[in-house]
Amino acid sequence: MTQSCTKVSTLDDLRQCIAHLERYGERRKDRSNPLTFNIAAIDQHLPWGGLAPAALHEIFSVVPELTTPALGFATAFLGLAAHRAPVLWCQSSENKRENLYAPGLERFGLFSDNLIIFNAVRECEVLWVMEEALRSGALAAVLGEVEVLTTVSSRRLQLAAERGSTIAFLVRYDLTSKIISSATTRWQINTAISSHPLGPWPGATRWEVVLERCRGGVSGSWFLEWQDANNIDSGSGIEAGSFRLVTPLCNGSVYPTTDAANRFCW
Amino acid sequence: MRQTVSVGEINDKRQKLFDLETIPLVLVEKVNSQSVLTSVNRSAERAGLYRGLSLSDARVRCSNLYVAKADFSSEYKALESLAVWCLRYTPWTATDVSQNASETSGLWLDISGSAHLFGGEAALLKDLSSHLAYFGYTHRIAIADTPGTSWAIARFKQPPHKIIISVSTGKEETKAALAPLPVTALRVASSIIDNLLRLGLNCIGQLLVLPRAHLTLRFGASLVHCLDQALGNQTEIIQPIRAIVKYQSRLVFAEPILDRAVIENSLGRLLNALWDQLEVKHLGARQLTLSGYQVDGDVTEIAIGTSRPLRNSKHVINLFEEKLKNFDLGFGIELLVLSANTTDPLVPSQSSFIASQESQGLPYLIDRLNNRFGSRQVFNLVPVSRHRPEHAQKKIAAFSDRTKPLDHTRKGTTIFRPLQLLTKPEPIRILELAGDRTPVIFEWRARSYRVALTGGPERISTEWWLNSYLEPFNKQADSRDYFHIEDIKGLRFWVFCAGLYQSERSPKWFMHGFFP
Repeated sequence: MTQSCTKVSTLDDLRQCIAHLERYGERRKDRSNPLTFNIAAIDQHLPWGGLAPAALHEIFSVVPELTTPALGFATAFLGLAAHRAPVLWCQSSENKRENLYAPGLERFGLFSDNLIIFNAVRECEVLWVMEEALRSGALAAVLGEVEVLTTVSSRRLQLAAERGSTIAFLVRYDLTSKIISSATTRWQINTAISSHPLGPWPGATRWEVVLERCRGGVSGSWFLEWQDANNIDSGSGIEAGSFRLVTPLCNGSVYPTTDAANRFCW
Repeated sequence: MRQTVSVGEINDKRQKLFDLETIPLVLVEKVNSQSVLTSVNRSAERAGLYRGLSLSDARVRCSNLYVAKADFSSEYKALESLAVWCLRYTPWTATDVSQNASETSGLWLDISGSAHLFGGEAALLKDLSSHLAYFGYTHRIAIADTPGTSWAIARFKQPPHKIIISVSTGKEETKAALAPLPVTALRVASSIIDNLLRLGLNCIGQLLVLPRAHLTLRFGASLVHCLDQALGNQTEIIQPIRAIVKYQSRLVFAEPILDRAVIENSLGRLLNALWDQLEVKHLGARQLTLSGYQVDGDVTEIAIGTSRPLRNSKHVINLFEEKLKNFDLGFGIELLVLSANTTDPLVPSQSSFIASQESQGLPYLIDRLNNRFGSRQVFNLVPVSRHRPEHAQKKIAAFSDRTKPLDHTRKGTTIFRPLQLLTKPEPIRILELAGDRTPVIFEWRARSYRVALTGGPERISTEWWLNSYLEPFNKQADSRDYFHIEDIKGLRFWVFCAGLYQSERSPKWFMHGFFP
């Protein structure tokens, strides 16, 4: 009995030790609240009751032809964080033909007075700015669009996020470059067919969200829908918009599958 | 009375390729297909050559002549950098570029009120002269009440070997100093000079006794005007090389400084001196320039800008520290000047017991990014009330207006707009159109997409007041029908069909934006 008692206490000690090493002590949890999905199923799945407040989150785009779906998912969180303090969006103009669009950002609760955009000439500047911005602790969240990332730079960003207790999002497009990064969570965003309640028109944005890696938690997969701020009736009290869990169609889409479509489209 | 110094007859004798004292060297310029001398050295002068002489005449007078082409742009650059260097004596310096070949370029310095910093006028002039000699320039310096008189004295006063000439203050003294000088010293057009000389009016003293009305009648208003300017009856307006900085602090080093750490340390002292000046006037700095005067006459400058007026040393020092590695120390810095180029009102605030958070906060971060990357790279996006989607937003400098508090209750636009927009709409190839003339299969960037859901159209045309020549319902009308389409994988695009429907012509389609 005593032996098992000591075993339990030793295990507890070791767990605390590891938690301390991994910098997830209670002290850090208290500094700011996690960003929640407002969906019990997902929030309870994550060890922090939402997205960890002072950590790096990687968001991968599964769709090779378009980056917007993954960006949209990150933007939704940025909009939620922008209620606390201004947020920073870092992008580089290297090989980039799309620009952010202010009227579109407004639908995510991002306005000119809470969103700063940094447009780097070279991609390495993005990492520098992200680290400095995270370290300063003046912002609620920092989002960066990065193509090339090394283990060291991901570690630096994670440490900077912890130090400034700021959420960092890295939106990444190149699935082949999935290095062993220090990010706390890694998400994979795929598109999903939307549905409109009234007819055959594009409805609210839908994603197939895969939590691929989660430190201290297990992976998972959900279908999510984003409700724009303006689609919500004013009584709900949510200004930036909100996520909603969607049940996927059990028999798949009514439209031809991707393979069939590719064959059809040559 | 303004005390104006004119430095004239500046010649660079630094070219030590061959002995300039013994070999005659001239610089020439083409004037009306004739080569004319623009500069002559001592040795050439001894051979009887002078500025304005034609090259063929010069070759007759002096057989072993070295000729080089005059390079005015480098000459002017050298003169300008010398004028910038002279800012150490006074905030008001100007370059004086010669208008014709017979005059030499020079510098103006308005040292009213700054001579005492150097121990009086005589000491200042001596210091200036010794520095110029050290840089390798021969020169002549004159100080007088008016720019015109100092200019004339510096160039025409005899004997030529006297380097520093000062004219004592007072109208009569100025008159007396000008009287023996030739009329060329008045800086009037050469045609007037020729006429004066033809009439036997050789020196300024002869003009001073003549009735003004007759002079004006005969030679035009410009002669009397120049005379009045030289005598101080009229002010002469000269554009200084730099905008005059009202607030600046300076630090002179006993020894030339070659250590960056010393400069970092002295920055704090300079800033405190500057804040004292600004605080009295309730001002805060928006732009600061740190100038280092090197011993060899070069001036290094680094500048920072801040997003709002401030008097916070820590904030500014941090901003400067990132740029200090570009601060060229050369052979050593002997003088540091910190000037506030732009200031804005800043009401003094009660300082708190708790250490100021300003150096940590958002303004500091934005200032750092602005100073490192330029304000074009750090910005806010603001929607603009324009019809055309690509014109419906503009960039503004990040948080340029921070006076407005954050408004959390505001709502965005109610219209459906994409998250990303292409800078320029890209044409798409329609492979199949539906019965309602919306695309079913299209090709964009070498990939084909099959449309599952279509929303729209939304017709957007340019504002009618922008192209007034368009008649209503013109078939060429610059309108676009936008569709919000989703392909079978769930990708969402914003495409448009350009122009109005025409049965005889197939419509052109373009890709413009992307929804998340």
